Amino acid sequence: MYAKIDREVLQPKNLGELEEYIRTTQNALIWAGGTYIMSRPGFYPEKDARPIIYLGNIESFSEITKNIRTVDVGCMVNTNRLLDVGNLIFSKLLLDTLASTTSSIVRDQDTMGGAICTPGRRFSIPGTLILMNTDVDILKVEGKKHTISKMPLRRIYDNQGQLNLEPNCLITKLRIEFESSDFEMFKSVGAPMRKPKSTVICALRCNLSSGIISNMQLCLTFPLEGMYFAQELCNDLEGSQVPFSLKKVLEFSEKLEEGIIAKFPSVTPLQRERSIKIFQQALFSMKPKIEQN
Amino acid sequence: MVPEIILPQLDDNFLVVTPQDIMGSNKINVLSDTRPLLASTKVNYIGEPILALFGPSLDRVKVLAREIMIKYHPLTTTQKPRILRFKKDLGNFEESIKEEGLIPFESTFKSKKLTSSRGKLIKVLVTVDGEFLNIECQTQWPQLIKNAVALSTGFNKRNIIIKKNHFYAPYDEYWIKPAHLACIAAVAAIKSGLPIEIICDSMTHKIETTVKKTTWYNAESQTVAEKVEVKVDQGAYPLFGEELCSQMLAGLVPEYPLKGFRCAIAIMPSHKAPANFFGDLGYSAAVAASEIHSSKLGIKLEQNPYSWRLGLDQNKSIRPQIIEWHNANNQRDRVQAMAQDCFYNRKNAACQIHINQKSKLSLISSYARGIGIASAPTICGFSSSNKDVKQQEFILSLPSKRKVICNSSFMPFDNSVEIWKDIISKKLKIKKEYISMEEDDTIIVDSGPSVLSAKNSKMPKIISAACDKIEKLMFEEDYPLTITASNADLHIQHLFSSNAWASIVVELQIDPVTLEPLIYHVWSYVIAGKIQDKPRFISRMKQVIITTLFEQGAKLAQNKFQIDIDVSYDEKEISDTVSSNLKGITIAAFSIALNQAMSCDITELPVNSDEIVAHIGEDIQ
Amino acid sequence: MIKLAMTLNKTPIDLVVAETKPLSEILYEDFGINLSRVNCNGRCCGGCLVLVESIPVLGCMYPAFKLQGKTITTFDAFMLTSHYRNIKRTYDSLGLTPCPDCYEPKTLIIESILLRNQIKRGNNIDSLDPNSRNFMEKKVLTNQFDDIDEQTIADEFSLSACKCMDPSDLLLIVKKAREDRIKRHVR
Repeated sequence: MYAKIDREVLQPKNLGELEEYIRTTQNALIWAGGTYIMSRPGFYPEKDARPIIYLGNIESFSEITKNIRTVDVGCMVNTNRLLDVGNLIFSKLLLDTLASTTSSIVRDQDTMGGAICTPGRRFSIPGTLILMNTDVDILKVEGKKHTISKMPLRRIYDNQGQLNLEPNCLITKLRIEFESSDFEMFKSVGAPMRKPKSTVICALRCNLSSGIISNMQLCLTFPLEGMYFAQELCNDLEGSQVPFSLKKVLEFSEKLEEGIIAKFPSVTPLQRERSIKIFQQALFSMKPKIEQN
Repeated sequence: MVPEIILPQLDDNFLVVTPQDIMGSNKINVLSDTRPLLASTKVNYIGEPILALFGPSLDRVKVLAREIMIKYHPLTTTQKPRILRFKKDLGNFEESIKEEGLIPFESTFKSKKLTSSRGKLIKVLVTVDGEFLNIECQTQWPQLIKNAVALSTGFNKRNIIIKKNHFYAPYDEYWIKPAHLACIAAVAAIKSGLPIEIICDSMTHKIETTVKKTTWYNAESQTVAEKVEVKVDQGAYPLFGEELCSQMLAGLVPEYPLKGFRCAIAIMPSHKAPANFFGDLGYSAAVAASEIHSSKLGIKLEQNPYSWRLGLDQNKSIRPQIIEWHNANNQRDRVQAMAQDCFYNRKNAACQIHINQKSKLSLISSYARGIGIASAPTICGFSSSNKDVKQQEFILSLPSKRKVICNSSFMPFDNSVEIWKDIISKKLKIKKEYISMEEDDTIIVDSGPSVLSAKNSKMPKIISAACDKIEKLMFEEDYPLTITASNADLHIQHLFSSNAWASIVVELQIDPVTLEPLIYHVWSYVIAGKIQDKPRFISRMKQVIITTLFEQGAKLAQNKFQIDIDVSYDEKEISDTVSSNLKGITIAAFSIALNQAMSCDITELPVNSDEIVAHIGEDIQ
Repeated sequence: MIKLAMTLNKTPIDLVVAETKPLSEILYEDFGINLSRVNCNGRCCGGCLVLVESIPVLGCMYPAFKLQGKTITTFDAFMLTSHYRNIKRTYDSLGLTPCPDCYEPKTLIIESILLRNQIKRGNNIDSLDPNSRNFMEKKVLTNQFDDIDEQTIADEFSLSACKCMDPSDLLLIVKKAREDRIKRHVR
């Protein structure tokens, strides 16, 4: 009975060891920052007896490299570090998203890999990264072979925003574009950890040259339900002139509401109301960009 | 119904305590109320303890505890619950409602059950040392632990030594639970012969009250009679019923004049976790209900709540029959000063103009604002009619001319001891270094439970009365001298006595995006007695106001929130604490402001954003 | 089980614990150290804050296997430092003190804010040391302080679930403590 509180923790120092551990251990739990896992009620002593593979000792997972168009971020880079380092180059949308975890103490322990792979919940970072056309490197270990494939972050989630990674796969790197848009907004309403059932997280960006909307992207995240990208609504907004009239704002709000109800019927009335209000606030804030000659 | 408990295989390192293992009685007596230590065949609420498992370490115990299986089935028929009823009439209610042309006005307010989530752990350590049983814990009532442990284990009370640790209990977390845990740990310690430590969360619950007030007024808008019906839910094990009724009565009696007043309180047990004192025993909920009703009544009589209060003839109020209030004259001045400083009339008028506005919570015309006002005197300690609890006994001994020993189970850990020493030093002209507290646990007197701010407010007055008594003896008798003083020595004629009073104005707005009530500004004008540490008193007031607002579902407007506190001190006697009335009036002012902002009647608090959304009748045009 | 060699309040400690046992539970159960709150089940209440390598961390989210070779300072030991005395002086001079339930976490949050403010940072990504896994490990305490951002301070205090203090009072405490630290060169 004493052995039940113990759990094997494997700490690979390089990719080779990591692949070996994945190959030889059955159904291991990949552990990045561990903040979400450890915050669950009844975490310790655990009922879950699966071995753990801790990624913190692999140096390449903690690297940040800047390229021409992207910043490559290892999965073990913590949110605070990325915020500090990317202060001058990332867009306001991404900086606001990273800072939305309201305490730097938590951000120090929270990793980028963990933030996008949280089981069963979506928080603020995945939605924004998807809007920024982020790609991820996925390491897959199959028998004696391993492959590293690159794919858009969006594809690791299903239609409902639930994580859809295959077994023996893990995300090793994120490639984040740092191009900004003319209009960007991030807003998180509620307390995602304390009250996920009433929380809404909104990330929105678009270009506004000559007062016309183009490349409109929207992501509404409901922590327990998933992410809503409102593709049809974004398409409808393409080519619209800003500023919007009240009538137009209400029209688009109605479409948004219908879309949310159709996609996530379990979203609470409060979450719906908050989503609409945030969206309206965004539409009202859009002004034509002043072209400089 | 619990027919069967299946335990896993346990070795000698583990110990289980079930109701059958308790050598004495499987119950804990809290004055005249009783509750079981461990549920045997019937579980009355979810979370009621059934057994205790002890092991070499906490994590091993947690793992093994998962393997314990308890077979149970719900009881279909239960006994009719025993309802405690209380009724009090002031004036002549029956005659007064017979008056012709009276118009009734009714309002209801429900104070929902609150759970404190401060998350502290209560730790009790018990060791058997020969004939003695040593118990180390934080406790607000050491005598309860001694009585309970003696009853459950058969140990001699004199051989039970309590070592009290420091505690901070704004919600009276350390009142009953330490005694409960100490009994179980004592049984385990005696059974095993080993030191036993038992840990439990300190979660406490506030009572749930529903207050329905009906006031009859005449054609001249004068209030004539009032009837109050209260339902109280204290959970599975109600306690202190009569005292609760006295405390609630004090809060329910209104400020406006009445010829007749009737109050009927029903305490109904339920299958919820038992409620605790939670800082006060229903007074704040009663004050909140009264003040909300008073404001609504003022609005019904076509006045704003402030003008209505100002116009009341306090000489005809029936409240002094229950609360002896020492400083009535300054009240009106304080309310006027506060209303002027916060521009109450102007803001109230502005909020009223928008009250019928549609699309209140739209982003275009977001004027969901409200302002609320409330005031009440304070009470602390137990009522003068309470015969159950030891009325804060305090023994003062002078073994010699220059030495003083104080004996009370209310031993203060904080700077209150300095206040006590200060009083004794000044009264008896003895230096502070010669004043000490009794340390022998076997002879420490039971001063009752340290709840309802009894320690902070009443105790200094009782000590003062003790000093007066012993001063007379100093000239008449030889040393050593010993006297006992208690609440009875304060000669309170009424149910409660008060020398502190508070008023408050709360200004808020419903955020149109987050749909949360955001508090922008709070003003609180207070009349208090003599306060030793004035900055700490004001800091404590702020804490109470802010914590109460958060508990009721409010948020503070970021970077814009302001709180202004103004205290007028009367240096005649030591001040009563203002915590319980401050809580009540804060709830009332918040509720009134919220109703104005939402232009609807939200009758239950705390409120959350889901409920605000449900109340929105959007029709954006 | 893992054999840990770490330093707790300046005392070298060897301990055998389960590898995933949270730091807050190790401190409470194995060393009898009382924290404001040991485990809030994911509500991020701030009650289990302790210093690991002088950096405040949430003990309930810090597993044992990360503690190898680390230096842990609990609040009792922090009270013996000049940084604590600086904050205590500020409480006393302003007459503003957190309630006993959140005194420890709020004090450590203030310490965290002041520490972050005091650290020399390289904002340019190219100057980042690629070998530095955790930016905070490469700290250089200077006497230079960034300007205090009020919004950031308010966000930091949101970690403490106890809402007993006026946010403007907390801001005042942080500003005054910072001034005191600069004046007295508190290290």
